[in-house]
Amino acid sequence: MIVASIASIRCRLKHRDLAPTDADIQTAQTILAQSCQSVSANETIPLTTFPSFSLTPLIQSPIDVPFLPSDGLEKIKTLQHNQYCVWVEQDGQTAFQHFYEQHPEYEREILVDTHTVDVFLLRKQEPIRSFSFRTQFSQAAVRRVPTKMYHVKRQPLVPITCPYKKNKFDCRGKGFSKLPKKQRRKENWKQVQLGRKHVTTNGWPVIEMSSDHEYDTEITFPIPNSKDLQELKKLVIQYGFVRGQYTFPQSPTRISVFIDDQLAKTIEEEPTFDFKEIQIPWIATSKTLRLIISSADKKPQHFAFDAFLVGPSS
Amino acid sequence: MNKNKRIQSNIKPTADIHIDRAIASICALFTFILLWLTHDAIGFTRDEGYYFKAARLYWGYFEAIGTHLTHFEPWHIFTKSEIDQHWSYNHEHPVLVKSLFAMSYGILHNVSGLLNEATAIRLPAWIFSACSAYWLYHLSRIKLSKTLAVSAVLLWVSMPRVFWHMHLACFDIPVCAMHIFLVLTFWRVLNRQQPWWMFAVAFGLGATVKHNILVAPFVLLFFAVRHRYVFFYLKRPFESLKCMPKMWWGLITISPLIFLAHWPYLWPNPLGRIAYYLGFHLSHEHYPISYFGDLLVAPPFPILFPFVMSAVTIPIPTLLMICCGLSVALWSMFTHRRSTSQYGYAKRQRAFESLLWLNGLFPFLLIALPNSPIFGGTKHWMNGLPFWIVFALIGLQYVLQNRKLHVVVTLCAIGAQIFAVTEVHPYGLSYYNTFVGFERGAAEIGLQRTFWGYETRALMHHVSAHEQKYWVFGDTNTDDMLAYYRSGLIDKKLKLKWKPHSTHHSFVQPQGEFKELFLDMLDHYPTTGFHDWTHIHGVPLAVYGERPLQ
Repeated sequence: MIVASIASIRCRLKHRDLAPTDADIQTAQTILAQSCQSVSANETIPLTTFPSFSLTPLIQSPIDVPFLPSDGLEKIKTLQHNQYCVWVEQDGQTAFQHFYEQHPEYEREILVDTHTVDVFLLRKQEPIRSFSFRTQFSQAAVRRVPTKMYHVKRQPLVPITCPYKKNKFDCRGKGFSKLPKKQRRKENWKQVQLGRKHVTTNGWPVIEMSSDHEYDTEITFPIPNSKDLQELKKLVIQYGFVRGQYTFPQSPTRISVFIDDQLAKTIEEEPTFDFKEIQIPWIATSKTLRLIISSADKKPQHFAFDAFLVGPSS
Repeated sequence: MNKNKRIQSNIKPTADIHIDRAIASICALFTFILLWLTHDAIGFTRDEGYYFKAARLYWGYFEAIGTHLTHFEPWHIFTKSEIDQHWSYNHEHPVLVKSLFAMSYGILHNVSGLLNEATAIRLPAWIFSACSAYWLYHLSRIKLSKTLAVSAVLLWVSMPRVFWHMHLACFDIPVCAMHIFLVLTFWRVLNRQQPWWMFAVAFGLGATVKHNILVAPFVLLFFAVRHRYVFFYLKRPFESLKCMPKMWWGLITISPLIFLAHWPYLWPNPLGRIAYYLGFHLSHEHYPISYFGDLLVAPPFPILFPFVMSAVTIPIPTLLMICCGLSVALWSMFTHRRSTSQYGYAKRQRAFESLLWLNGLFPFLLIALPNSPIFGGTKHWMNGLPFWIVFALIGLQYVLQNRKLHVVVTLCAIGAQIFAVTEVHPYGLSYYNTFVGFERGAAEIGLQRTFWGYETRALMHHVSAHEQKYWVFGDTNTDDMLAYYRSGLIDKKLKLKWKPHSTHHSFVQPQGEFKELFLDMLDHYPTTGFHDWTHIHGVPLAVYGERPLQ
């Protein structure tokens, strides 16, 4: 117990030194500002941190950078960007090394090497071009489609077209605004939303959409007619279920992917707190991508996804 | 050993009693002063906001008593309208502690102006903390030397999370104190050192503090039957009842009277309102908690939750001592089971040990039940810890015969705890031990970093620097903000918004159930707008962000 006490104090002293010092933070932030500025609106350089809880570089950050928590990056196979700025604190070294080894397609360059913080630039050896469907969210069309003809009260069910407003498609229906406040809150899941959601421990930018036993929810993205998109060979869908404060339903969720109205893939997932990825071959001439979410459960499942096309840069 | 000898063996010389009282009082005073000196940096927690408001409202009733008495209309004090006007707020908890908050607020702040509001309201909680130290010393002295009894107190007070809770105007430490008092009184009554009714009074007072203690009599009855202090024959229950010692009758007569008498809110409709009180806690909402990366929001919860959380939040040396105490007790249970007479000294000492572990264990088991509400905090089984500490030191006493070694070992453990406290204060609720790599390790594996929104206190200066009234404050609630306003830490009354995108200034805890707010902030605030934060060794507890006015 004497040894345990002394070891405990010693470990704590070491733990205290794990946090970056103010001087090192300042040095690292200065370099970040110089090296991690986005090249253009299409070519951003996201910032990530190891360990994943760290927000140190964001506090009094001199530049506005897109931030991606590293626990989300560790979960996915396909990375969307050509470059990533990586802020590594002492206890994040192992996790970063592991992450780097998982992505041999990236080379790393050390930008800052201080006692408590290192900053790396990860650069894709063979640059890629990607097309994110999240950036096309406002162009999409969203509907709730009845799974059966009639409601239990024998009212005919009709498809609901969801109007777009400020990063949301509102599928709550016409009578929604007349509902009492408590009831209105319960209906909020019927909105299809763009934003960061709690699909990983530290959150990830996704599109959240849910369905229930009466209605499937469907989102259709038009593909712009652009030469840039012709070399994109792969559709990547990364998906999970938003934890937030929700309890997940018992029934599985079916996700159907249609490319040009042809069913390309169907998967069934039990709603759990996990973030996964599927890849589907993409034909350059495709005009639409449609995702349909369905479930036999009365409870919404808070499904969330990120989808993008990826291919070699010409 | 006959009955008289048994009683005599429990009686200490008067001088010894006086010395013990003096030492216990010094421990209590030390605790009280320490809390007073260190409380200021701890922000107002979510629940404190409610109790601050309750204290102000309840003080109104005490003022009304004065008014009615001076007008010779004492019956008005008991009218439903008068009672409901003052006591309806926060009627899901009994009011002994809140009444003390109210009186302290009224006398020390409102009337005399001696203390500021927060200090005045927190002061009774520090007295309860001091009482916990006083009673723990006496409980320890049943089986431990004076040195080890003082060590027990120091181990209790310097446990990082316990030390943090001791500062708050809440019920968690008061209920720990009352639980120690109840067990101490129970033991003394059983051993004829105190009159039988003291047990009923102790339980009655305990029940007026918090509902955690309501299960304790069942545990104590089980103990009494198991150790033959009470005989109960399943085939002759009525005869068993007739032979029941008076202390148990007191429990079902005196204790409810104390409970009823202390709570004016119950008086207009005792049964209905007690039923509501019990019903509220039997179907309490679940507070979400981060547990290994996931957010637990609804049952069934992991059965091991309280045990795992204790294993990672009790400092390792103390945890080792508790394990050592347990091992010794188990060894002793199996090796000496049949070796002593029914009423022998050793038998009674082993009975005391089982009293300790029963009371140490049941708070854990209550929360471990898969459908028990998860309130999140380790505070919900904290009332078991003092018993484990005594248990740990008993184990140490068995293992090491050398008294000097006791001192060295306990001093090391206490030293490690004090060092941990200095490292984490005023964010003691974020403390984790070596098993998970302290606070940073815990954050990395997704354990809850903080609760109750008190972390924003250090960021309050930003409020006065801006004119806007609409702010997001995450877990810090409106009553807390009003308390900050009254205490002068902010210069205006704020209107709190929920979502960061609906305003331009947000304080958010980037973890647990508030993670979504932080994600909303990341979506809508530029990263150049994250101006400040509170953190513990680089683990963010609260982040302050501004977004430019458009």
